[in-house]
Amino acid sequence: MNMHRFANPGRFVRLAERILPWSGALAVLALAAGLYLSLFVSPADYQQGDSVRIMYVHVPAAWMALFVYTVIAAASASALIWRHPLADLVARASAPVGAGFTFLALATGSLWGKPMWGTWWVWDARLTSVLVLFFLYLGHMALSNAFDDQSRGNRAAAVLALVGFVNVPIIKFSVDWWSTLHQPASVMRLDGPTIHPSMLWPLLVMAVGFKLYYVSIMLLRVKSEVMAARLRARSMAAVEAT
Amino acid sequence: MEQVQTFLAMGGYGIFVWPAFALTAVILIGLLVTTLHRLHALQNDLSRLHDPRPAAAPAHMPEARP
Repeated sequence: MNMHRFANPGRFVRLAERILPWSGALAVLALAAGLYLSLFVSPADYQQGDSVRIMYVHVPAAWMALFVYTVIAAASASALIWRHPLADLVARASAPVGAGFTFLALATGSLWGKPMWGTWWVWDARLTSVLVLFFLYLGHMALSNAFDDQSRGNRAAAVLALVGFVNVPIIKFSVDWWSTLHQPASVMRLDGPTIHPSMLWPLLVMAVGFKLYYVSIMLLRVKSEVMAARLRARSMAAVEAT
Repeated sequence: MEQVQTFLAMGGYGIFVWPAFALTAVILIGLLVTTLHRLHALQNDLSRLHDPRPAAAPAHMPEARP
């Protein structure tokens, strides 16, 4: 496999432009279907009543918070090791989106915790490690823009992303390793999901919608990063020409 | 009308369910809007730069600069 086949930014932008209409349209479709399924079709929980519907935004947001961070860590590794020219741009483009998903996971979790646990927040392993993830995203965004020379900022942010990756398995297994108010995994289990299909399907449709949304936004933002780099290169050239 | 009210009440959990969905919509749409806004601004800036050299000049990645 030739890693650098899509390393040419111009070629990447053309590829992104071909993917975007599809990923965008499918994201809208999946999110609309997911919204309909989660609000109208799926049943109320026998214990939690209608508050269980918060799950259909909370769980996909939390999955994406971990997924986007994993993408950033992988991109950072290939930026540091192979100097892949697009990797830094993917990481930069993804960080604000991941921060948004993490904020959503925290906020919707809080809105779900109040009626079910009786509290907006507890400092337990799951909630605290996700809050740490949120700060890692903010730190990544701040670092990558902290230097006049953007490549220095990107490198510092990439190191942060790799060091912070240790938090991802901690979040995933926090509900098994420590006692917590948060319930253990009910979908991504080795022995298969324990959640009823009438709730699993709306959740999966919504999760697909969130993922397609991320792909679309990420492609748009990488395109912006490529154009910003072009703009910098041209203004540098213009300065040198005078 | 009563059905609508029952639906909005969400079995008494409406004050938690609707803010959760509304917040999700605000974040997802907000990110989309700021992303498109920046993209259009950059496209304008690029097209306003009347660069005499061909537009096919390779984009310089951040690493290319010292």
